[in-house]
Amino acid sequence: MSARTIANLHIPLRDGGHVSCDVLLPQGRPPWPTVIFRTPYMRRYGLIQPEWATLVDDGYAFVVVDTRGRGDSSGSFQPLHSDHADGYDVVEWCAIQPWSNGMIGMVGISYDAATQWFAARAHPPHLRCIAPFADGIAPDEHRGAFRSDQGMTRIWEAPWLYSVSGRTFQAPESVSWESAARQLPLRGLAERTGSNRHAWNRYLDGRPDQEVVLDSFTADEIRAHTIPTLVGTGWWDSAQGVALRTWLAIQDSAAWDNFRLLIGPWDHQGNTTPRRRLGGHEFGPFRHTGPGEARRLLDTHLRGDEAAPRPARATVYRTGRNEWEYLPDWPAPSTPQRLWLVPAPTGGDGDGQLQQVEPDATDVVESRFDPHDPPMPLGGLSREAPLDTRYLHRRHDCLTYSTSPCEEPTNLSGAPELHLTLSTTGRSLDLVAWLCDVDATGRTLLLGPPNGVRARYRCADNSSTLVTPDEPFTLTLRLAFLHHTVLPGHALRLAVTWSWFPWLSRGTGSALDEADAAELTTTTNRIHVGRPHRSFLVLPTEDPLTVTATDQDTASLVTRKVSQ
Amino acid sequence: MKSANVADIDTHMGLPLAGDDGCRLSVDLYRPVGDKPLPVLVHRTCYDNNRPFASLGPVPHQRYRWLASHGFTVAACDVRGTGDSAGEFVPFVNELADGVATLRFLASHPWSNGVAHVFGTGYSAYCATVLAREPEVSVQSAFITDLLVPPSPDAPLPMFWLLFAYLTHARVAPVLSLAPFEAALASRNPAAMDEILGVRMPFWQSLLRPTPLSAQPANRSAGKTPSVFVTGWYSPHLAATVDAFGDLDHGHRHLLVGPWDHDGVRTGKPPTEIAHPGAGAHVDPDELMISWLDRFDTETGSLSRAFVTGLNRWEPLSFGAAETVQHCLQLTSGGAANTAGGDGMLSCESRPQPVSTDRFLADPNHPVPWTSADLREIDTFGTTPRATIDLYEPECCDDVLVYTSVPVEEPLIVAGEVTAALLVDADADSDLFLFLGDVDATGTSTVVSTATTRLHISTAAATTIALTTVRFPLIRHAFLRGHRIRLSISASMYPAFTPRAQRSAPITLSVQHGGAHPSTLTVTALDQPTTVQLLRKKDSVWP
Repeated sequence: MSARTIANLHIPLRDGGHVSCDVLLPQGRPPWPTVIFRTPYMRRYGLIQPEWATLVDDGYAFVVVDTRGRGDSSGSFQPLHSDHADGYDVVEWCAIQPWSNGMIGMVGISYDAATQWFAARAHPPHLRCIAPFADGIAPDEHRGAFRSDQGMTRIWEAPWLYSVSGRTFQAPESVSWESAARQLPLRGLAERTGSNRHAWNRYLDGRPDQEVVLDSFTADEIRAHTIPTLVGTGWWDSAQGVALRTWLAIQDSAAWDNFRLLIGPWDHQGNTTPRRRLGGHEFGPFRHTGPGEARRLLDTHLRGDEAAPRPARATVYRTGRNEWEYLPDWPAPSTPQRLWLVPAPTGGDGDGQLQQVEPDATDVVESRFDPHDPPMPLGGLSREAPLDTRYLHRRHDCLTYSTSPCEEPTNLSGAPELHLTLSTTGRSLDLVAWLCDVDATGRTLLLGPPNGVRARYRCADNSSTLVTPDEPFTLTLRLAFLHHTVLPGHALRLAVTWSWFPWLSRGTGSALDEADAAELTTTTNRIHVGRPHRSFLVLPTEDPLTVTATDQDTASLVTRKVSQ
Repeated sequence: MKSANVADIDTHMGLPLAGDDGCRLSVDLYRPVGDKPLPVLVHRTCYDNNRPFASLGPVPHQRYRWLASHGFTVAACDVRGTGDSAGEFVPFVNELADGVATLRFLASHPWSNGVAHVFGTGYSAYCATVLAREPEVSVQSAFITDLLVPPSPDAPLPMFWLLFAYLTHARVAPVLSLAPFEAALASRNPAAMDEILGVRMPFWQSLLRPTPLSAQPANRSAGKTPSVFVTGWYSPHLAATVDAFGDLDHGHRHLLVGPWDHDGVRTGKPPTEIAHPGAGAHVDPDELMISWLDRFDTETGSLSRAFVTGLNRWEPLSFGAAETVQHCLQLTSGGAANTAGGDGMLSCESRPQPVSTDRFLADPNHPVPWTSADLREIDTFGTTPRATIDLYEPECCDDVLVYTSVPVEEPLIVAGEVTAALLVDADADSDLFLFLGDVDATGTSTVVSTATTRLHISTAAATTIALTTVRFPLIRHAFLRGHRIRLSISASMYPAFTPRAQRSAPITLSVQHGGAHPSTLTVTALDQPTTVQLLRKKDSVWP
């Protein structure tokens, strides 16, 4: 409970504008270490999140700031455009206030994590540590621009842009996004829903602002990031890919030992408020939570409590075994294991195999994809959960390949990669795939969000390169990161399909640009296996020698030899 | 009726009376200050008649004082073995005899004018009902809300009995905390749950035996006491309350069904999940009872009303109305009706549909969750279905079969029996849960009603599958234009119902449909002219 609140303070910015903040001050005598939470989602909503606002009970001054153009702050909101300079100004202003001791940290998830990364990029001298959860700054493999997810338009950006389109937060649930997104052309989506047409068009055209603003750092900027950082995400967080790519990228920094990682069994929102039950699975009560670990970080770096035991570099929830591990690094050391796709004897229908021996015989699996009836996650845009995806596996446009049930526990850590030889009757296709764990009763556990890639952006230079109908081409897709044990009796299943609507847009199947296409083409897509075509999955199979901490609070790690 | 000042109340606490066997029972009396003998409102509770906390409804003494202020002597009785009453609490066993002894004692008390009314919710409603039906004593009227009756061995066992057993295992109800309940429920093992809770609960163990209880047989024939029954669409006690209403003679009975769960029946508040509950969804049950006590002896017409969900307004509750039609919907699929993403349909076609079978594996170690909510957020820790259920989580489970109609072109107002006739097969005895859902234009489905049964599979090598008929409890619901009707089928609903304790291996269930003997959902709804008439009506009929 704060002793005093200072409401609607204006923080001056270098260009003459201001941002508004509320300051919660703790009991006792100033000055205090200070935690900043910068958000476009209304500072007042931030204040009512008990997970963060109770920082004041622990003796921190807590400053919640409306970003530029939001709430009571001046200017207009352009995503990520001013978070670098504004972030610097806010940190340095707070540091010289009479109630602050100049030791500044930042917390928050999602966009409120991006505001931390961009403030840190500006290197404000008083910023001591950040805890950005459920977001990141590493570019994706295909296109670094704000608009796309490996070349596929994120329809979920439309509700997001809608939510930040006024000065106050606009509840995206007020719009029927799915039915609106089914109508063509996609460019008309904002107009159909009465939301911000200009922002959506700029997004579709790869220009979120008048200038192109990247949501990722350059390699030099990543190397220059040195302040203590706790990267956090959850296995079913839609942002786990970018968060963990960022974790891997910052290992190049000279200050890599300043960085810590937390991965829990939660969805996006679970980074702040984890749900004990997710997709029908029980994961709680939780030994670790995002806000709990952020507090440890703040205690260490803002209170100068350097003597306190430092947590292991990576605190990671291992799915399958459903237990926390304390690792010197993440992913755990692994060896790529190649598993080849072998179709079911019945052709496309039925479960194919994943086997270690490359099949000799050439074979082709055909799958007809009708974009008017795309495979869809249950719950549409509103849910992320480790669902049992058998309802999708039964569809004719979803192809599955499974290993035999394991005899010994198999540990996986990192990002599997899928290499496929494909062909299509159309001019492009979208490849979407995910892995799941299949228990002895056939029940499946989704291992992270499905990932996708659009074939026309398959070239290294990210140019749009249409495919030649019926001519095989190769495509590589990085699947969701995982840290999982396939238990004895369980199998691993790969599911491949051609869309993940309405999270991602449906491909047109034709040469038309998706933003303005008024029709969608049904295509027949094929997976080619057997020499000379190569379709295989690369699994990060953990090495038998693993190092884990038995005590989460000790930095001296215990080496354990795991018998093979 | 004139209301007295709530503060101006005389009390006589812990008045002793002797049961038939000499057991010392305790009753607290409340009455307005004065000497005049008054009619007595009798309330018999197993949750301590003077508990200081409000987690089981209003703090009792505040409620008793308020009721007394309306010109009554309120007799708040601890049932045998609870609160200040001696003896051992054995649910459903002593309530008739002890209740009769209590009424006799009260009749001769100077604060009583000889007239007694009984009332109560849950277990108290059971205590009131047995007295209202007993010809040996004269009860003027009964006000029964959410009647609790002993569980049937032919139906899945609701988990609220665990909560009930926990609350009543000692003289004073313990303070509830989540952690032990979470651990008990996570075990999935009903037989070990009392041990995990750290409490000896022979009553809970008795419920888990195949023939659980030897309760006093209810006197179903003596139905002359004017009675009001109040329950809610989302209450687990809906069916028992409606059945008890049905046992009474016409003319003496009135039924009110509101948009409430069990908690809502006690407080009169609609669930927060309903965005527009409509005028009249919020009712103070005690106000209602006082108003009933004013008019029960002069009322000639029926007071029965139902809050029609979908329309969200009160309408007279009629039975056997001529202006209804039956809609028979056939279950169809391509053999994969699993989850809301499957291919299950409810077809309006009258001609036979192709024969097909949907299958699912019910694993007792992974029961179907009834709610997406975190159990922390539910005051009964998920053991009692609390409100309008968002069916998202169960409908995502592969072990749930989901059949959905096309959008209804005109509003369809359910006004009679809803029955599912299913060709179900299983490789072992199993529980069966049926959810009738309303799917709106955004695809969000909410539960309208839940029906349960227990499948007994013949061990003989049967060659034909038997038709299992499951009747839903009373429903008054409007499927609005563009909404779809959904039937979902599962073998568990956890933790609202206990998993089958006898078997830990997965059970394969199948539902066959199509052909000459289709599986069907039959919905009795208002005919079109009556529907149009009802929709044109502007005013809701509020009791």
